[in-house]
Amino acid sequence: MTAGPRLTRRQMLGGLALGGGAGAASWAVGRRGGSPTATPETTPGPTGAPVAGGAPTPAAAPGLTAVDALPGLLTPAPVEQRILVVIELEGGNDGLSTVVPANSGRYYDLRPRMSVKADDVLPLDDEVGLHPELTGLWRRQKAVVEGVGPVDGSLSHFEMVARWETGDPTGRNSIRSGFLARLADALDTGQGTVGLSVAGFTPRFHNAKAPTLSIDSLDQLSVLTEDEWIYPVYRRKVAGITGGPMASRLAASWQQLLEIGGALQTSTALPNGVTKLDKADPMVADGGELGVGLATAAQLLEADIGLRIVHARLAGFDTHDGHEWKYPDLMGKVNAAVDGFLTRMHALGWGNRVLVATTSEFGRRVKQNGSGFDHGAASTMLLFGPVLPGRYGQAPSLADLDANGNLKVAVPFDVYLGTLAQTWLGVDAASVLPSAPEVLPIVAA
Amino acid sequence: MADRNSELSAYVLLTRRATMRVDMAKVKELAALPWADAVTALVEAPSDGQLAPTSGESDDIVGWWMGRMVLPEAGLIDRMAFFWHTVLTTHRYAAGYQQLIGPQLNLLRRNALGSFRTLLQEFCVDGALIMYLNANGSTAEHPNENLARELMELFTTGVGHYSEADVRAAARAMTGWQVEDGSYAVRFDPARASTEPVGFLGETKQWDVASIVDRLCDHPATAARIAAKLWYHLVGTELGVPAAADLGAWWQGQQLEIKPLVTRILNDPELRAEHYRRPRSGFEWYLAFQQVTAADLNELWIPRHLGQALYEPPNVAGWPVGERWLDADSVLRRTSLSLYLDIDKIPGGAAATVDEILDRCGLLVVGDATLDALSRAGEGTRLDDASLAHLRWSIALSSPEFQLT
Repeated sequence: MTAGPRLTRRQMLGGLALGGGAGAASWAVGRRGGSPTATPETTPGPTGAPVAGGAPTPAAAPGLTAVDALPGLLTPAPVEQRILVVIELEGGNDGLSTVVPANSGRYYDLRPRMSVKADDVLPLDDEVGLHPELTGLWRRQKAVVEGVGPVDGSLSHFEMVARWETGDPTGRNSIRSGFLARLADALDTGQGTVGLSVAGFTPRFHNAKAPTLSIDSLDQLSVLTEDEWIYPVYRRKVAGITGGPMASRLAASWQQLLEIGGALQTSTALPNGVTKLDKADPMVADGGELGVGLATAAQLLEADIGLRIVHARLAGFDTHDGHEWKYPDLMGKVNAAVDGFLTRMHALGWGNRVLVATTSEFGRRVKQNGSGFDHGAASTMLLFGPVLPGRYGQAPSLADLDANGNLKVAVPFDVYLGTLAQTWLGVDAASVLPSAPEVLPIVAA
Repeated sequence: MADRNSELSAYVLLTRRATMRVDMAKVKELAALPWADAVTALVEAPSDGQLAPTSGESDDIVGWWMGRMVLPEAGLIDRMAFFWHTVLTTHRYAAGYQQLIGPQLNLLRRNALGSFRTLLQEFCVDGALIMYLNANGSTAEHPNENLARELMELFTTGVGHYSEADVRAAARAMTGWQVEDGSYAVRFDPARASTEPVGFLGETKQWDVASIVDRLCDHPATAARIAAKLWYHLVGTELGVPAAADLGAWWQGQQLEIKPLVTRILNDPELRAEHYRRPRSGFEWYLAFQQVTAADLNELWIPRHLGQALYEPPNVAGWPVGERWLDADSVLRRTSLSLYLDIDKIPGGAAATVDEILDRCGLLVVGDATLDALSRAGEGTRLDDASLAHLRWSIALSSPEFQLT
């Protein structure tokens, strides 16, 4: 392997990010200077990886901005058709293991044992590469956002999860509704079910006025799709529920469920209603709870019940110990689940409608403790779908850490959330986030 | 709505609202008394004297509490302790040490019907709360505002009655408290506390936790707000601002003693004016479901799945109240659980008649739609008797009436 193709890819990725960032705040698009001279022997493997649906792209001309100038790249669907899939990497994802600074001697100095070998990473450019387990996702159209976190954060899971959930960068705004709930309300057109959570009974959609649904498994929906048991009882009885405002509210909920049930039963995508998950599907077999969640979500997306936001989760990122064996397992699950999910979305012809975006409450400590990493600050987020490929944000310096030895935050997390709302879904960030953040130019305008 | 037993149904309502379970033996005991005497019997019932474990895992502590709530002798104390837990929240995983949950639970149960002032004083120097709201290690040099802010915003007056300067002043005044490593004892270290006079709610002096809490308890907004929350919890209607102020003023005259307030609310004709006025919250529904189905109480995933596991509030403001518990998510989750119950665990479950099912579910007052659904269950299908009974149990548990209290 030579450095040539890698440099080409770096130019393509970096050039796009820079181009897309025209007019944005200077911190918003970070293509760092960095050394262009990677040591060839440390970053082998396939280079110039094709983006989804296309051949390797030749070097982009400086200043290139128009995405349609890049053959093979997905062009985003019209904004009203777009779907956001938020994947929460719960426990605090170690961004340095997701997007590895494989060309940094300091990274290997600080993590003598628990680093990802430069030989193994899937190169993004001459500085960083994806975790070696992310093989399927590496071949897809993607972007990474580095340095994401709270500006004045805490190291408490609970506190930070609450801030991400509510979209409150300081935790001081007494916001009691979820960010995704407000986003669902903004997208609600009065038709269909806007939000779906396959991540448990979380507050993400709490206090949403828009119809949202949270389920742990498709079994729960059999209440609505099997033509025996309770469903026919309520199909007959909803109109007969009387007895004050609370009963009316229940009747309204049943009406919503019956509509979803009706949509599931008549969906042409699901001629037999909701089917059981295929346990042999690699997404389900190898994707852990995330694979099960996304397979469940895929069924409901295929049923076309109006979904615009999906929230899924993979727990286990709190790698205080055993990072060395836990992390590859987690990344393997992310790869199987998200890659399988995107394959299904492409099969549906929705490759240009779906953006997958990760979140995590915080990153992890730069220096290892015994066998893992303690709670940190900035982390790296991944985006898959019709994005302008590249690296966004600012890779945090390994030399300039905060007082706790953590990576400093360059992109406040509300900027990241605002970007998903505004740049992808066309919802003004200021209308759903109290901080009215600036946004990153992750898709072609 | 059909009243299947007009002699008992009002006392079922009283039991449902004032305890955490509906036990027909207890209902009949109360129904033998005039209403006011029944209320007195509930309010003056002696404490069980039991204490939650103060060591071990918080799973066991939460499990202990649920076990107490469903005992035949459990009464108003655990209803009130549950209410206080929804107002004076703590998250067990954010409390740092699991051992701290037991002492806080004992504090809530001990003061559940005592003085609100004492309850709040003890709560504000409780180890679990101190950890939860970052007051542990809050010092004069680095005062942490979290507890001071939530004390005012959530536990007492609510917003609009203090300034940001008051929050900062209270945070300084409340410094010096910490939970000791190893012993988990709460200690006040004067050397770490701010001793400078600060101006709080218009008065400059050397404040501390006790005087801050006292001052906030003296504030009329606190009595009005807490009384209105309790009214909603027990009666199921919103009190409205003027009525809340009146009730709060009256309660201040009772020195914020909880017993007179509960007695007054339980005796108010409005309480028994109507059944099914507010939603059962996720946990309330779970306990009711558990009592009907005899499901294993240690299945902690079920209340979590229903959105309300004890000591796991979504945030410091506690769980939502009101219609949230009746949205499509809740209905679907509850109905699913109703469908997949194991009727063999219910004594006589497979052979139960419609009346037996309704009695065990505590549904003495029931709407025509539910009665009709139960009587016509299985119509047009060929269900065997056990399957038909199963369907009827599921219909009763997922009925509108069973979702409400």
